Formats: sequence, structure tokens, C-alpha cells
Amino acid sequence: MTALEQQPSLGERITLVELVDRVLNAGVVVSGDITLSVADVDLVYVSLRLLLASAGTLDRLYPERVGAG
Amino acid sequence: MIHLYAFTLGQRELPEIDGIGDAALEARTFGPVTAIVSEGDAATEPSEDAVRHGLVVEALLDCADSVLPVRFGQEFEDGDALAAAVAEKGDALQTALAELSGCVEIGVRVLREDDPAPAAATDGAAYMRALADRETALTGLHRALLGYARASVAAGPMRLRQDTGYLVRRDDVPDFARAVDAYIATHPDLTILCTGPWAPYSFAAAT
Repeated sequence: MTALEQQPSLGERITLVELVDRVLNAGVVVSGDITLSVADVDLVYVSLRLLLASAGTLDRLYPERVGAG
Repeated sequence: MIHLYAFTLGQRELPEIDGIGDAALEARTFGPVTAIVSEGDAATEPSEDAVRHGLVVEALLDCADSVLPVRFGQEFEDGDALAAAVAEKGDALQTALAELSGCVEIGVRVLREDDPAPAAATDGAAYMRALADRETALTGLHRALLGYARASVAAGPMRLRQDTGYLVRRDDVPDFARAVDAYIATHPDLTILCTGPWAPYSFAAAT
């Protein structure tokens, strides 16, 4: 969106966090082996912060699709 | 293990992106509903897998009429286990997909500020008035945006912070975005973060 385009770096980071927030906390749950416990989810957030700190990792994981959101 | 990303209706081609662990995406049909999966062990970091899961779901938005995102972390031993889980849902998946057809989710967060009330609030009454003003502004934003949305889901306390997902028809997204921009322009005191369009995650949880 407009406000994000002015600061692409910040915008990309926010978009990534928003994406992971949805992936972990929303979406339909079907029965199956849930591979993540609550503690694991916290770990994902921690390692996501590390991920955000690594520009190289970000480039690799970051197709233009989400950045354009 | 089979990792499940989303259910879709009207699935056309598969997106070009690979799944978790760079495994190829596969479409498995269950009657009118398609399940998007990949097979293999999740070898990379959970955070990378979670991001990849999200990127796959977002890419599906361009390849199907309707996308019902699945929460990250759901895996199945084999095709039979997946089929059993899908069968357990009955018609609920198809019904939800039909309702979400042609729609995306827009997230609007009004960020909490360190000081919830203006510095001018010198006594209790002024503080309460400032809180009430804030609440009126947030309610106004919500009401304005609902005019362009089919539904909304709120998370978090409404008083100081608003975190809302709006279900918006694709055609209405530009109008919705303009309404947000107009509100931001007239309310410089509020920090408003608008993101999307996303797959409709917040409207899938109850399925």
C-alpha cells in the first residue's frame, strides 16, 4: 500500500511479520498431526527476528510477490 | 509427511513457487475441493518453513477462484490420513470456499502508542475524555471501512488498539484502500498500518 511503498525496507519487514502472524495464528485447522507446540511457535517468532536481521536470507526467501502487497 | 497449505475451488495451474524444503506442489482433489500439498520432510528452520507456507498460500490467490488457507504446522502421514481428515470436515470446506470466492483479506492495525492519552490530559476527567475521543475515532474508521467490506474479524481489545481483518471483494480493494488513505490523512494522531491483499486467513479459522 501507499504508506509502505515509501519505505520499502520497513514495508518488507512489516509484510513478512504480518504474513507469519497469519500463517501461525489463523487459517483453517483440519485434524492431523500439529507439528508445532505453543513453545515452538514462540521459537518461530524468535528465529524470525534473527531472519529479519539477515539481509541475505531475506533476499533468498523474498520473491517480489509479497513485497508488492 | 504431507504438508497441507490450503484448500481451493476452481484451481487452474499450480503456482511456480516450490513448497517447504523445495518440494514440488501437488493438487489433490476431493470432490469439488482441491487440497494443495507437498510431500517430504521439513528440513529447514521452522521460521523459513512458515514463511514458505505463507508465500505458497499467497501465490495460490492468482491461480484459483477461492482459497481457504490452512494454518501452518499441519502434516499427515500419508494420503489416507489426509483423506480421512478432509472427510471429517464434510461439506464445511466447500461451503467456506464458496463464501470466500472472489474475496481477499485486508488487515488494518491501529498501533498502540506508549501514552494512550494526549499529554494535555492533566486530570482524570481529561484522561477519560481523551480515551473516549480515541474510541470514537476508531469506531469511525471501522464503520467507514465496513462500507467496502463483506465481513470483519476483530482481534485484541478495541479501546486502545484495533486489529481487524476485513473480507473485501477484489473489485472493492481500490475503494477500500482509498478510504484508509483518506482516514490516515484526516487523523495524523493515529498510527494506522494497512496490509494486503492477503488470502482470507482470518475468515477460515471457524471452518
